[in-house]
Parts: sequence; C-alpha cells; structure tokens
Amino acid sequence: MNFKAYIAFIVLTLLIVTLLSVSMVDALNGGLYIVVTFPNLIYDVKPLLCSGDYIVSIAPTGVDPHEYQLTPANVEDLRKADIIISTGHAPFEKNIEEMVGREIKGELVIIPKIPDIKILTNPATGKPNYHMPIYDPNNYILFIKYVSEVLAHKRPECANHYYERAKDVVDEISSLINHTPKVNIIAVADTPTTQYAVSWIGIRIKYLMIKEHGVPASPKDIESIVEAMKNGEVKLAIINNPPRAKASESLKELAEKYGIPILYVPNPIGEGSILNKLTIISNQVGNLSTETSEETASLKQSQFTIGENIVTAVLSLLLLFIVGFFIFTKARGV
Amino acid sequence: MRVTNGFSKTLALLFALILAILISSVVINLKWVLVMSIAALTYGLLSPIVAARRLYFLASASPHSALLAAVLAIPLARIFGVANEYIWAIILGLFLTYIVGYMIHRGIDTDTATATFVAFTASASVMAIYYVLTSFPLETDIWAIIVGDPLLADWDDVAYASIVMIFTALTVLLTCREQICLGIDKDYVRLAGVRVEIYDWIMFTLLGLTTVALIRIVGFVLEHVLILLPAAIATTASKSAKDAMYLSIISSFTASILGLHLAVALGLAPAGITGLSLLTLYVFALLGRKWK
Repeated sequence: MNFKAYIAFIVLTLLIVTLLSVSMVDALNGGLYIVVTFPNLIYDVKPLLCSGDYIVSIAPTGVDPHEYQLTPANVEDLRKADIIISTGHAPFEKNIEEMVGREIKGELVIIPKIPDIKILTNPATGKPNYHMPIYDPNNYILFIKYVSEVLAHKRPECANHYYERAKDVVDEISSLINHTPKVNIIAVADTPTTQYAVSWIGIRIKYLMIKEHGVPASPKDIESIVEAMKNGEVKLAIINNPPRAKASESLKELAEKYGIPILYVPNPIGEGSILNKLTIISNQVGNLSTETSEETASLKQSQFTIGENIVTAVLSLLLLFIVGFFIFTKARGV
Repeated sequence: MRVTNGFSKTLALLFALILAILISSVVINLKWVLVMSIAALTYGLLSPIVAARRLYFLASASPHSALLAAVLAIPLARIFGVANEYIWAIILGLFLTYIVGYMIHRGIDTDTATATFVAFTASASVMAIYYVLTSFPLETDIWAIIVGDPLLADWDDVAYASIVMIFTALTVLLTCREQICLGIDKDYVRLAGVRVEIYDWIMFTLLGLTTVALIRIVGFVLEHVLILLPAAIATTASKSAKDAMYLSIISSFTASILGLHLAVALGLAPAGITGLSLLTLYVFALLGRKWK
C-alpha cells in the first residue's frame, strides 16, 4: 500500500468512526432536544427538564435578539429540535414560524399564543406589547404549565418529573404573588419591555421614553413625561437594570431631578430565570410602597395642549417660509 | 468700510442666533435646543467649504465611514477598556478619512478614491453591525446611530459636541480663504508657495471629525442632508463666498431649530423634520434662481 492510499484509509476510517459514534450517541440518548429562541428562556425551561434532555438557545447570551439573524448552525439545531419555544415577535422568530412543517418537524410553542396568556397594550402605541409576556407571574404560571404538558406529551416516561418540577415553580411564583404588596400608581418606563414586570403589582405604565424597540424618542413624549413628573401624576420611574441605554440614563436623570422613586427591573432578556427577576422586583416594591403615596384623582392639564401645538406649528412654518422667502429673493438677485 | 460692514453683519448674525436659542429654550428643553443648534452650526460652517473644494461626493461618503467607526468603536472600547466609544470612533473615523486623503494625494482621481472608500466602508459597516448585534451586550443601540437620537443627549454630549463645534468654527474661519482659493485653482495656490497638503489634511480632518463626532446626535441618515444641503442653498442664492457662509449657517440653523419646534408640536422625530425643512429652503432657493 503506497503512502497516499494509507493516509486516505486512516482518514476514511476516522470519519466513519466519528459519524457512527455521533449517531449512536443520538440514538442512545433518547432525551428531548429543546430549542429556545431567546437565551433567557433556558433559565426558565431547564429546571423542568428530565435526565438526557438537551436545551439550546438560538440567539447567544448577551446579544439583542430583536436584531438577530439565523445562522446555518441555528437552522441545523431547529431541524433536530423536538420542541421549539419562541416569544413570537422578533423577525428571526417569524422566519422560524414559516419554516415549521417544511424544514422543521418539532413542535413550536409560541408564548403569546399559549391559551389564556394575557397580552397587554403598549400605552404609547396602543398596539399589543409582545415583549416577554411571561414576565407577568400569572402568565409565567400558564407558560410553565403549558411547557410541562408539551414535554410530558413528547416524553411520557418523564411526565411525572416534568409535572412535579412545574408544580414546584408554580408554587414559588404563587407564594411570591401573595407576598408582594400591591400598589395603585401611574408610572413612566424607559422601554415597553418593563410593562409585564410591574403591571401585576398595580403599577400602570402610562408613559414611555422609547415607544418601541428602535424608535427614536419624540420631543412630545419627553415633554409629557416631564410635565407628568412635575404635576405629580407620575409617582414612579421604571428603569431597566443596568441603566446603560440612553433612554434609561435620561429617565434616571429626570427621576432624580423631580424626586421620583426608581424601580429597577432586571432586563427580561438578561441572565437568570423570571422567578429570580420577579423576586428582585418584589423586594424593591416592599420598600417603595412606603415611599409612594396612592394615585390622586385630580391631575393637572398637560402644558402642551392641542391649541398650543397648533400655534407652535403655525409659527414655526411661518418663520420657515419667511427665511425661505429671504433665500428666494437672494437667489433672484444672483 | 467693507471690513466694518462685514463685522457688523457677523455680529448681527451672532446676536440673532443667541436670541433664537434663548427664545427657544423658554418654550422647550434647553439641552435639545443646544444640541440641535450645535449640530446645525457645525455643519453650516463646514458645508460651504465642502462646496468650495468640490468635495460633495467625499462629504456624502463620510457618514459611511462615521457609521463604520461608531459601530466598531463599541467592541474596541469594551475589549481594550481604554478610552470610551467616542474617542475610539474619532480615531477610527479619522484613520479611515485619511486613507482616502492619502489615495487622493497619491494621484488617484477623487471620485474613484471616494467610490472605493464607500464600497469598503459600506460593506465593512454591514459586517460590523452584524458582528456587534450578535456578539455584544443589549445596551448597544445601532438604530440610535442610524436615525439619530438628539433628544436623549445628556449634558456630557452637549459639552462634547460644543468642543467639536468650536474646533470646526475656528478651523473654518482661519482657513476658509485658502480653502476657497484651493477650490478655484489648486495649481495657482501651489505655485504661490502655499503648502496645499496641509489644507487638504485640514479638510479631511474636519470631514472625519464632524461626521464621526456628531453621528450619535444627528444620525447617519441626516448627516448627508446637513453636510450637503446648506451649501447647495448658499451657492444657489449668494453672490460671494462670505454671503455663502452666512446663508449656509442661517439655513442650517433655521431648519434645525424650527425642525425641533415643529417636531415638538407634531410629535415627530426632529431629525426627519430638520431634513424636510432644509429641503423646503432649498426649493425656495431653486425657485428664486428660476424666476429671476
């Protein structure tokens, strides 16, 4: 046997052994292959899993999933998946929905479509807020129960394990809901991702610095927030933790200026389970409820009324046309 | 007499600008008024020089390098832990602009050098944006760089933009005569003993600095408008270089401040309204030129 044939034989043997071992491991494993779209969902689903189950996230930890695009490795994971859990609102999650039934054979769980999940309305846009609805503990209970059902259906031999783990989580969440003091106040938040985290406590987010992901702040919104802080309508500022984004920094600055207490909400897409994040919020609420008084009925009128806006717009346009006319006459003289 | 006339005209302009800022700040947030005014004045001063040097193509390409620099600055600042994102963005932006400058200096046609530069920076920006969005923390908001978010600027941003504006104003005022002469006849200026390379370097530095430094405030999209349209208005409606400078500043400032007021009244993003206001002024200039 010459040298080239010898090398080719070794390479071929190694390749066959590797392929065989991979397929044998897959066959012997027998566990479920679960794919979650957002990395934080791992922390919520993993405690339910049975021995041999494997969980992987599409978007890596720490990145913004809203801008994420599927890679070939992700598509391979999705093909292998028995269950796919999606928040159903990021563009790449829409791509996954389109792939189901064709390239993807696994069962797709779309969180907003879980029966009885409560979807809140974004106060600034009037549209449904799909940013992590399971941050609401009541929705979280529904999510955990639903996922445990799907897991049990896919792997019946572990059904009891899934149900027991789910019951433990549900009990902890129920206890948290019962022990957290409830308030009735209007708040301002930096982004809509905080809405589900606080609405269950009785905190109603009425103003947002950033209406929706990627939308720049508008002057009218910020003026309204300042006015609401000045006249006492807003009693609390809800800020994503850590407050590194520009919107969060600006809201923190405004809250400090007008003496409004701040409630820091752990980033819903950050590390840690929803249960841990809700515990952090619950602990803060205990202290906050003594600082904030209840919502008052009489609220002053906003400074920027419709009439003032019309006058400002007309005056601005008038001045623009005066300068335009000046440029027009200058151009005529050239 | 002419010197006194020019001086009083400048004083009147300065007085009008300060008055407009003061009146605006009574009605709306002072920080917003300052940020918009600073951006307008910076580009209002730079734009006529771009027109005089006939560097429209390069000026419109500069925001591409600014976008790349601003995006790459995010991982660099985090990886090295030395200097903040603004400093890294300026270093990278200037480096990229100097590459074009060097290409032009080596005799490559300006448009060809710029086209190559745009091809590189646009492609690299797409890769850099993807890399940053998929590998770096959530607080990174690329959209803020692209569409601009002047209303979320803090007082540090105001101070930073003010330094850039003062640097731009001093450099433009001290070198505008030479830059205009270079735009008219470069060979003649070279024969007169002027070191042309220094003025080229100043021009590239100004372009690189102003686009990179203010991209987070005005945004990638609006930078194109603010660099090009004030000069287009000024050159259409003025008889002299000095007049062009005044008109450029006036149109840029008017569009920004009235754009901000209109944005407050209508509840829209100020960057877009500012662009439309500048376009309106340009249409007036074109109409005036047509119906003389």
